[in-house]
Amino acid sequence: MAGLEPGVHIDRFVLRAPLGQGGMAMTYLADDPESHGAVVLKIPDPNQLGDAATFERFRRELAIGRKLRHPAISRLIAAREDGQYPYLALEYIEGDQLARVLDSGPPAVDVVADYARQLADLLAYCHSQGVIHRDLKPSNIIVGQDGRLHVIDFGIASVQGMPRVTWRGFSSLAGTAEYMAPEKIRGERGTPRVDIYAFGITLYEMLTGQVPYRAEHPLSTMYLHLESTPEPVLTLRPETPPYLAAIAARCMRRRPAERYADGHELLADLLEPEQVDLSVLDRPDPPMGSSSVRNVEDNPIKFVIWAAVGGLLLGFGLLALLYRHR
Amino acid sequence: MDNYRVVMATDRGQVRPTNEDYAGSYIPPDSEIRERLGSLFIIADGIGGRNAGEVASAEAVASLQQEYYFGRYSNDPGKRLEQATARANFHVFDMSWAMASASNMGCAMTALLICRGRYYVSHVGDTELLLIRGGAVRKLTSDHATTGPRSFSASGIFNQRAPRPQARSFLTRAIGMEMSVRPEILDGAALPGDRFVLTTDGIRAHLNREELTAALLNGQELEAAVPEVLAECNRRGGQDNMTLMVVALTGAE
Repeated sequence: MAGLEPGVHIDRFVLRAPLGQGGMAMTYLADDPESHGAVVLKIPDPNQLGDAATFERFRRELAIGRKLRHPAISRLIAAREDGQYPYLALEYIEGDQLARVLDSGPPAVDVVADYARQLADLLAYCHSQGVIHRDLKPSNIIVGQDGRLHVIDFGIASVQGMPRVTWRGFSSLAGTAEYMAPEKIRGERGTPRVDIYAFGITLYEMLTGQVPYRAEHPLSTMYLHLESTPEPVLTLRPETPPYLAAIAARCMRRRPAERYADGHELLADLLEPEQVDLSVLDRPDPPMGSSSVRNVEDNPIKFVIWAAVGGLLLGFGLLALLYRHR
Repeated sequence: MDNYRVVMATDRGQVRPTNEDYAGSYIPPDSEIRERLGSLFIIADGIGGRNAGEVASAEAVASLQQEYYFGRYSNDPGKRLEQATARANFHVFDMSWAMASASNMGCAMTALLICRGRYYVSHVGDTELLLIRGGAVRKLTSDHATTGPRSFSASGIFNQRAPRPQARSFLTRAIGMEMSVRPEILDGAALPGDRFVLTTDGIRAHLNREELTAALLNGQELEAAVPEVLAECNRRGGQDNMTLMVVALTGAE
């Protein structure tokens, strides 16, 4: 899409400057004469990923913008779904991408703890509303000038009541293998625990300045999530309070059942550091192993057959015993 | 890893507004994984209105890669590839139902797996796989289409591409068009010196098999020959998106 010039009017909004291309949209800073303030205009960019996907993401963001009210989510001010330039007008947050902030080194530990609490609070709210963000990562988080975090880009979120989202979020194109939970890698149904996992990776990155798993090819990165053991947070940054390292470790457990169930559980631990179970720091997180159907546990049909054969043998044995005793 | 040379090029052509072809290759750097599951090379050619073909081909390739390497399937590479293809098909089908604007999207797709000295192919539609061995060329896949370059699917689903003046055809099988698909599954020995050539129909619209083979065997390095093939197709009109991937086996795998 050719860039729009400053001064162009789109409904009541007047474009001031392009903010860049994010996800599937062109974003512009614009003036809103009604509020006398600045807004972000998000205009889907058909060139980026085919209209179909772009508009699906647009539709999802619109639905979420109408559904969610939280200080860490940019408020939806206006929207237009048709016409030459469909758009979302969102509250403008002055600040920097968390990804950019992390480029200049990991923040102080107490700042990280504060960011973690803010993010957990947002996740608790989203999960209570039946929304799973599914793409949480530092480039989708804005650090406002007041230090408040804002999560953006709900384009691949799953929302209760909206069509099922089974796809992996345009996996090849979105390139977020670094934050992808093992169950997502394996194509299993996502639950709020995929957000918890992405939160864990983000927390690890905020504390240590690096993501735990990174390889040249996204598929190789996915393998690392399943099989490799990252350097512990406390090794990379010894001054981290153990409770925070333990929370990161629990969020990053490979098996979803071992993580916090949702944002509420996570937030509760962040708010009560003394109640955090530190044993997770010493507990190994075994690799997920071969992705083949191998053992009985993985193959219920085989299990049923063996159980039936075993049952028959036992039955015959008992019968034989009975006959002998007669 | 030293046993492969993979050269891929893709181009929108001169006529289509976007490139709806997509390709992906993965040679696992970890030798244990490479030995167990092999290396996977895939091309896809999307169909569907409003650029949805672009989504279909990218999603088909990405989900097949992910399903093949991470899904819970058979240990037998050929079976595993077939099962992963079924899942990738379902994924694209499901997406096209969930996204109102993407309904009827789909793609042709050819996946080549090389594992423990054998090749395995899973193929749907009119993308194509050639094998050049010892100077002779053989087409391994069949076209799941009625005559000529395609335009429609057999299930009566329109491919909303610009109509062509010449005879239009139907894809008789495509990824994502129906809930299940029957891929063509092939396998055979992979030998040092083999060159596997994957193309979408935009290449074949302008170059016949002899011309393509000659261009790849003219003594030029593949890194130069492959882009030259696309340039030639563009000189001849670039009627369609075009993708060419050559996988050359340089030693025993």
